[in-house]
Amino acid sequence: MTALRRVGYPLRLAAARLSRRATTALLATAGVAAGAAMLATVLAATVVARDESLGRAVEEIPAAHRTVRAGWFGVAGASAEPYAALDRRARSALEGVVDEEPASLVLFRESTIAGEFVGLGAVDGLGEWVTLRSGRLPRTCAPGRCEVVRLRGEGRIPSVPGLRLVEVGEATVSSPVLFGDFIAPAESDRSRAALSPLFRDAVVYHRPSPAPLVLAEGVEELAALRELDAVYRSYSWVVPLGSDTVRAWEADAFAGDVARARSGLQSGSSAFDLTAPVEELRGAAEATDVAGRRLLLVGGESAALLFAFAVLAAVGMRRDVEEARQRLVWFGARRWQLSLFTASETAVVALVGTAAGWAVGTGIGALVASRAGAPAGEVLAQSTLSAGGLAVAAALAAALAVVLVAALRARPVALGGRAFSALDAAAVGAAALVALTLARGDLDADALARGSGNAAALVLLPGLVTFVAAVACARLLRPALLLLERATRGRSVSLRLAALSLARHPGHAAVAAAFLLVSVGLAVFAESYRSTLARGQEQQAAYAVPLDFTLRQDLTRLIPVVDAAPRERLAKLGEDVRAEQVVRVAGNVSRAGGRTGIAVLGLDAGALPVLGGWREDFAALEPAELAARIRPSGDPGPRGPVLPADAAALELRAQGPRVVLTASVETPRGAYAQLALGEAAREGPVLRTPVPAEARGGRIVALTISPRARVQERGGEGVPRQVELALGGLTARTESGDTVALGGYDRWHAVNGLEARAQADGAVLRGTLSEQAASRFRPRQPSDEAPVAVIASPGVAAAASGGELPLRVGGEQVVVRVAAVAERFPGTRGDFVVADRRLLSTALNAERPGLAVPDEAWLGAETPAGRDRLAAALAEPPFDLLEVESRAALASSLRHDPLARGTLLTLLAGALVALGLALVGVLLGVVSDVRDERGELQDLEAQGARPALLRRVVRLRSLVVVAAGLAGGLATAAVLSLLVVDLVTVTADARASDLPLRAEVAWPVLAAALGAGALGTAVLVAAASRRL
Amino acid sequence: MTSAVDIRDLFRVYPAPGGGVVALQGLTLDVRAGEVCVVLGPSGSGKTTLLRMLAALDRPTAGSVHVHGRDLGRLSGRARSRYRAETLGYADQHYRRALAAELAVQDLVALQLGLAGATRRERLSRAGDLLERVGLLDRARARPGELSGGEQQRVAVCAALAHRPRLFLADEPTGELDAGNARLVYETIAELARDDGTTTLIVSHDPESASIADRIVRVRDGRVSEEAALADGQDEAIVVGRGGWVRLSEELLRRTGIRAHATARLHEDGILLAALPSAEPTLAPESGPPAAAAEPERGAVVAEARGLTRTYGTGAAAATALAGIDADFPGGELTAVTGPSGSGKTTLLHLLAGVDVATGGEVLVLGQPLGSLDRDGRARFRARHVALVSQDVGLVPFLTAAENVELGLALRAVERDEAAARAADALASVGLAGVAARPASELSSGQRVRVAVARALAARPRLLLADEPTARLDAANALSVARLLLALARETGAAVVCATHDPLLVEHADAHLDLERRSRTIAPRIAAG
Repeated sequence: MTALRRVGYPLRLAAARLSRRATTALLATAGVAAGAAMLATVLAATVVARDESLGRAVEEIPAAHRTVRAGWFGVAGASAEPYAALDRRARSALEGVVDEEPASLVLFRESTIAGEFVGLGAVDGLGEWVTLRSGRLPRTCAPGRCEVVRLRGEGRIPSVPGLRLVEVGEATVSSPVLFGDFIAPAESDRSRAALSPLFRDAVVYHRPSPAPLVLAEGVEELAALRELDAVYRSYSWVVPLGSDTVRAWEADAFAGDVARARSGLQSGSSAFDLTAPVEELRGAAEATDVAGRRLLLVGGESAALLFAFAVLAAVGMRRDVEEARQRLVWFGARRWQLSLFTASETAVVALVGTAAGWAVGTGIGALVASRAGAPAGEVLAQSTLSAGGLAVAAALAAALAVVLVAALRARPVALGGRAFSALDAAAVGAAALVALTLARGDLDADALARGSGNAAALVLLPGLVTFVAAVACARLLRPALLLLERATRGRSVSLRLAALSLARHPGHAAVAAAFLLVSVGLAVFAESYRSTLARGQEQQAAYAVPLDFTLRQDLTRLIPVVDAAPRERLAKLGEDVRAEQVVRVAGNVSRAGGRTGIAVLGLDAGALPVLGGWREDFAALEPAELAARIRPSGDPGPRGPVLPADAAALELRAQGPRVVLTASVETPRGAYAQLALGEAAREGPVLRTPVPAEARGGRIVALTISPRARVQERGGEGVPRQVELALGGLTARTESGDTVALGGYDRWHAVNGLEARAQADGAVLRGTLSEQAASRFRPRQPSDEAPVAVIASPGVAAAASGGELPLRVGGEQVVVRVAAVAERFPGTRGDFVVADRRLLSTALNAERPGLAVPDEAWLGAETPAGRDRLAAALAEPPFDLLEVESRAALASSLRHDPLARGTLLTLLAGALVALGLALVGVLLGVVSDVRDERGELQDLEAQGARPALLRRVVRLRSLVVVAAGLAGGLATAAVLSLLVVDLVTVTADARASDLPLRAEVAWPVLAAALGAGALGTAVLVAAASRRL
Repeated sequence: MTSAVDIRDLFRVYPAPGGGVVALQGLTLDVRAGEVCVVLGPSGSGKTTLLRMLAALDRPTAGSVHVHGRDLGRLSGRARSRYRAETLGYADQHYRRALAAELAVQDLVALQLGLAGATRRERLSRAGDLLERVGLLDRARARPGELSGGEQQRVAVCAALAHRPRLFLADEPTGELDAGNARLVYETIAELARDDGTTTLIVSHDPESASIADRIVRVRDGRVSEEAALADGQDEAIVVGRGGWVRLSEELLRRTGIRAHATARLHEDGILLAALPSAEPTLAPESGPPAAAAEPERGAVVAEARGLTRTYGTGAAAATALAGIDADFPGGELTAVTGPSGSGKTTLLHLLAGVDVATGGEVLVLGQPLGSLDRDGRARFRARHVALVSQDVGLVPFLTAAENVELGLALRAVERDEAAARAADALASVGLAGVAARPASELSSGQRVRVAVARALAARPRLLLADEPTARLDAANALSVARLLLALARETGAAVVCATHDPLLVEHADAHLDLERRSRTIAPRIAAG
């Protein structure tokens, strides 16, 4: 018992001290609590943001696929189990996956029933799933009368004994959930097209008119009809997934449940299957994990701040604790009792502070969760109150206690005539660890995005860097002060005295400056990283949509941009609207080191300087200079005879072998029309083709001469054929019957196997035709005179030889000249080539007419009001036939992404907490300064210093410390920002960005924060030193 | 009686920039079990270091310390802490430091028992007994802040003796108390210690402490210089150190005319020391005051104290540092202000300097009542006319001696060039011209004090105040500084006022103001050399 009392007594003393000296302990505890609360909030907010983000991802899954669906496929007669048994098994399996009761249905897909081709199905509770267009809902199906509603299709509905289908109305399906793609294939395909670009091309195929589809009420009743026993059917049990059905932390468990349920079902019958959008959920969960890992930065920042505050608090408590220890030493306390006393006192501060902070952070987390509509209890159970979260809190409290004790008790050791503390050794170790980690690439951005990054290293990075900087600041402070003292001799007595007194006893000042460095550094880092991410969102939006709007062809409608938004319609949008037609095709470079999937962009050179999304780090040259490099010297437009505006037909005499001639006409809208003239013949007939309305007034850019079509064995190749073809002049016949000669062939030439010789009344073409390359006879174009000048990405430019690059587009080759190199170009992804649109179009269309037509339009307005008007106009016909992408909408979407919002808010909160703690640090520093240096100040006063001078000295001391902390903090923030932005390239919404983040500083915000901090500091310092 | 404390040839040298600082040099002391031994000596003579050695808080550089047969220098860390827990009781000069503000009086008294694992009943019983004996039982549940200074010190003594230690150490136990309270505390110590047969070692400046002593030991320069066993009624004995070293007091030397050398010869059953007949150099080249200084020229009164009173705090915690002091401080004279610790010496200097303000009475300097000036006005006045050398001389260690002096002048708004010239003169006048360019950290203790004096001197004050200027100096340096201050008073005509415990300085003073006895005496003229 005596031993127990010996143990208990120091604890009792510590408790008595803490209860009586509440102010100091409370201040320290409050600081610890603030940091711990920040950490806990980060943990909880991360889970909330991930959950909200996953919910969004779920909502983006097409409704038809956003279900958990158990299915059974087969013939009833061949199954040993009746429907009721199958129903029980399916429902039982689904219970293990989702809580809701499934809706059930049976479907006889496009079956032949009684000789009629029909789709037949039944649903339990049909009224919930369809909307009546006419008639009424059917009653429960019975063998004698099975009432149905027709959903689609024409034709007769079978009605035979034993299966008397009676149509009682027409309806449409109100939700795609139940029938998936079967009932609403078009909508479903469109959704898929949005998901997968590879699917786009498949959407456009024609579908035959579907067979009648009818639905009855009552699955079991319809399934039991004897007449259908031999008909192949599918039963489905469907539970729709809501945005909150699967929480972020349940994605893996959900996948496991699905797999188990599927396995359970299939073990009973291979006819069963169970599907759910598991992969989509997993993908979304992985994206949210990246954001979670990035938020570790904020967590690491909070931890660093917390530990820095602990050191500051410990230094503030040191004198008091030392006195208490000294007292106990005199009173005969054993060493272990002293240790127990100190440890228990610091442990209480650490434990109570951490517990209080964790509780506050948990409360804030619950608030955030409830505001976001997430289940607060579950969020907390997954974050701050999870086993891992509580372990983090416990480890944090233990680490804080250790830091407090170490800061209170650690004594420097002499080495080579200099004193080194444990902090110095730790700083050297930390610097080595940072260097090692960076050298090993543990913080590689790709690894982080993949999720294989070293999360521990990431969470430690800000803390370690800041710690090294803080120790360096503390160690460099004294030499800097001595230099300052030297510099101020004969100038300012007060500043000299301030420097001298700080240099004499730099301990507390060094800790205060180091703490300020930590808090200011982390505050500025958090704010600049927040600015970087926020600015990154704007840049991303501007990069993706270089002007305010981008119009593209809607793949569900397939209406070309030049048709829906021709130049003249764009011109009518308003005088303040800038409209740029854009050509975008895919190209390849086959040369060694070549690239595929190059975006070949044609854009008016004059538009380059006004494009949004441009950053000066994209290229060494300014946009205006780049524009000058690609701007064509003359008229870059295509040359060729122009059809009269009232041309009704195009005529051409062609004498020679039986080859097919086609005239290519660039329409006034910029599209291309191919006018089939027909076959040439020995007798030299006049070939004639009507001119369609859209081609009237167009320009003839080529005559294509191709071999006559013939039956050819599969796999065989056509044999090259020698031809000699005499062409007469091109003429147009107008609607009024006049004949208009379209000129000779003076500036024409033949390509791809032919040679041309112009004659007075026509031309003679000689050469070889093949089926591998179309032979053409066409006017010489501006692009024939010199290669098209382009701006190329570095990868593409590297493949150029002598500055020229053979580019393959749509199977044709065009040689371009690399006039400038840029890392990136707005509106593109990956490698790119950008040229003047008209010259590029001319060049490509010269190789194959129609290869390059404007397929995008970039629109911008000069004023916000103009943008609003433009947005309204684009929502109206004919522009609504196109896909409209808005920069503002994209930016808004990025801004409202839950992860982005969570990240930015967390960073902002981190910055504010750090700034607040910096002010607390300043206050602590000034109060301690006034208290600790009272003797020295009195000595100065005794030597003749006036009170005003003393106040100036104290204020300058604070100013010097604050300046040192501020300078160090800004430098640390700069290093951290560059390091982190360089390493963590994922954007605010946790996606790998096409556009690398670039460290940004919101100078107004920073200036305002620093101004507020300076004002707060001035007020605190003035107040604390007022009574000197 | 057996020996409780046996200290032999104890040396303690502390490392310091520019060389070690010797705190103890060959101290030998023997204290018998149950004996009450009072150790007297000026500040810096090694008393506190001696206590730290006895408390096993420090280890000897050389020599040995045995307490009840245990060699403290060889104890392990654990054994030292056990030794403190079981054997030692300690009462500090700053009793407030010993009394944790958060504990009640009875808990404070029982603190050491609690750490030893005593039950609550045992703790409270013992605390009650002790508090009853010192008349504080009714304050058992009070906090220290609710007690007067004397009550607090009595509580501190009780706390140090509650566990019945075999050795009780007290460092200036009445340092901050008035005479009445001091007497009460001494009586408490004597009563409690003697009841339990506790060996007691009291370190003090206060002659009152001798009233309870079985033996008085005087310490100077880190060794025992004299001792007297009062119980035997014998005179103070001169200590003969190992190797035959004997230290003679300055008074003896002065009266016998012995200077640097003397003759020694057997005389009956003793040794007769006599001065050499020829004139000899002084003990140290700079130690003698200039010839002109030998003749004091009493000038007009520079500073006056009229009914000067200074009280700190209010209510029960109020402490009177000075009460109704009247004194004149004429120009050209060195006045020594003495009194035990806590008698108000430093307070008086601060009031004369205008750093502090009297709660009663008046201070006039050059006819200016300082009480009529506000703080800023006093600072301006001080900058022109007054210089104060604090006990902690406050030099900036990494500045040279000259730079330190110049810095002091910069505070008084003296131009840089003039400050440099004045600094050079002042350092020369204190005999430190040769070390003017050396950093203060590389100077000896005596040199640092003289730099501080030079800093004050360079301000050309009419009133020069020095607080314990010979503290922590060995005898030779103390003598040098005393003579220097006297010479400065003579040369500059300034009134020099020194608060001191050091008899050497008192001996050199023209006047002696004893704050304890509230008397001012004109000292007999000190013969030059």
